[in-house]
Amino acid sequence: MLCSMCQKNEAVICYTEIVNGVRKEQYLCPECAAKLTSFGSDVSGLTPGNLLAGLLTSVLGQTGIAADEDAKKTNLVCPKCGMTYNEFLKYSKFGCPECVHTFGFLLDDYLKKIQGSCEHCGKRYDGQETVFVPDLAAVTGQKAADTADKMTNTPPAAVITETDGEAVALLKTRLAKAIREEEYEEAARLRDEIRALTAKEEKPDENMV
Amino acid sequence: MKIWYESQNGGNHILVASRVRLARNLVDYPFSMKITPQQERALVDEVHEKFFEQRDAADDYYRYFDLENTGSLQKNAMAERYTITPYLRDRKEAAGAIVSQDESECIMIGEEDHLRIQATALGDALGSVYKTADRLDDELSERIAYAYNHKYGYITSCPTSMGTGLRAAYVMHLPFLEKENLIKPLADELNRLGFTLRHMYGDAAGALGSLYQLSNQRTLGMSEEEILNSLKNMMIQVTDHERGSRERLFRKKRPEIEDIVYRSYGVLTYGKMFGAGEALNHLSNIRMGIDEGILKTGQPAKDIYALMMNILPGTLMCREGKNLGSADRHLCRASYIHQNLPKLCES
Repeated sequence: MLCSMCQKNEAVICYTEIVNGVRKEQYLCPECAAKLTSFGSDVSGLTPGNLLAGLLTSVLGQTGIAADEDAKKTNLVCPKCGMTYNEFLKYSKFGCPECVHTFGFLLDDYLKKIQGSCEHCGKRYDGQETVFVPDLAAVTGQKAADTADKMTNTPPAAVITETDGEAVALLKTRLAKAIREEEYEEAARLRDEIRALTAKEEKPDENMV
Repeated sequence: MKIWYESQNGGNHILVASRVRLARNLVDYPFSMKITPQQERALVDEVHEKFFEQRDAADDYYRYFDLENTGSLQKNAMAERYTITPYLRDRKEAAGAIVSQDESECIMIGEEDHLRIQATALGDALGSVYKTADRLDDELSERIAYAYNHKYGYITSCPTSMGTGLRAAYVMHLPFLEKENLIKPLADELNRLGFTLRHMYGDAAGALGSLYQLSNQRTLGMSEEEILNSLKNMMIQVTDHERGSRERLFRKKRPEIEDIVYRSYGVLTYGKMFGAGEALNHLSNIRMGIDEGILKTGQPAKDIYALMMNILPGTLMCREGKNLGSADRHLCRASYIHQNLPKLCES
């Protein structure tokens, strides 16, 4: 069989790619495979940190090429320490405890991937919960009943209630959509907008560290 | 006072020591990537003050090292025997360490996480060292506001230690798996199961002294007890592999192995200058020789591991109280070994 890319050399490698759940197989010669995968060309930069950061990037479905463009429009920044979304992707480290709240949207998938779980079941801290994370399920309307008890402790990012004004309700709908479509930066922006609008009506939320 | 590895008898077995580290962070300070030097200073001072404020001033079991003002000799010595991490030693900003006299307990302040609470002991003592670290953690948590979330547990700088923040490790002596080139495949297999096996001393070219540490990777979704139990199960399996490897090689090459052990004893008894790597490798052979009953010592031999730690360059120079050039260091190391190598009884 000839290589499906150059159509010249004998194909020796079966390259399987899964993009958005669609499986694509190509039969390639070694040269084309090398070009496509960059295997063997960039081993020097492979440190554990890089691997993890790479893993995080791949969990979030972002490729290296798109990263530069995204950097320009990224507006997801931790208000407390100034850590940006891109920095978090690059180093796979939090800048401060508040970052867990800021980047909370991305955490569950990532933790499941690297730790096999996203729920702590070990020692409990005697003091109170000091870091709050918006409840994803409450926003998207899934498993709302399951999390009812959590919602008393954790301020949810958005749940549409009867007292919401039209503007807030609209924002919350867009927020739910953004999260469903994994547009996390947009989601964070909307969340902050909603918070700003509702803060005018209610007393400021002191739970937000 | 003696350091923890000198005070007990580990027995020169495959399993050398047990250690746990708990990662904890204060909610009011940014993590290492974003913390300013002023905040770092305030963090170190706060923890130092709060730890000692309710202690009896006469109680000198815990000592405090302000690492900014600690000499590099002392810092290197503590780092090479794993009392503090190399990261903490090299930190340019304020950093501190609260260390028990025998160095079996240490609270590192200003590490990658604000606090790393560590406890160590010879032999299979994972349960008891965890209890020690847990007690220190309880004591600190009464006075310090930790970053904690009900769902994610203890918040850490890196998501790889979130949850329990517990990193447990066994120090193991694996000379035969190393001789059979089985470390790499074993480490790969352990990695797939969520454990890390890596050498303690040496570089990419190889391990020195055949000392390895086996530690857990997962910290979330498992309780502390589950983490410790699963690591213990892995340790037992690695021990069995090393034992299998020993039996295989002894069946095939007993005279050769005895030769290696006695040669190492001879070299260390009569040599006048040793580099640390050379000494570690000979001591490793002797440790294995005692464990396997090849070398017969008059009294039960103290764990050779203590000797291995005490001839490391930083620890050696710290004991001498001054910096030594490499030739002086080699002389000094040989004389220390001559004084401390267990005597053999006539067979």
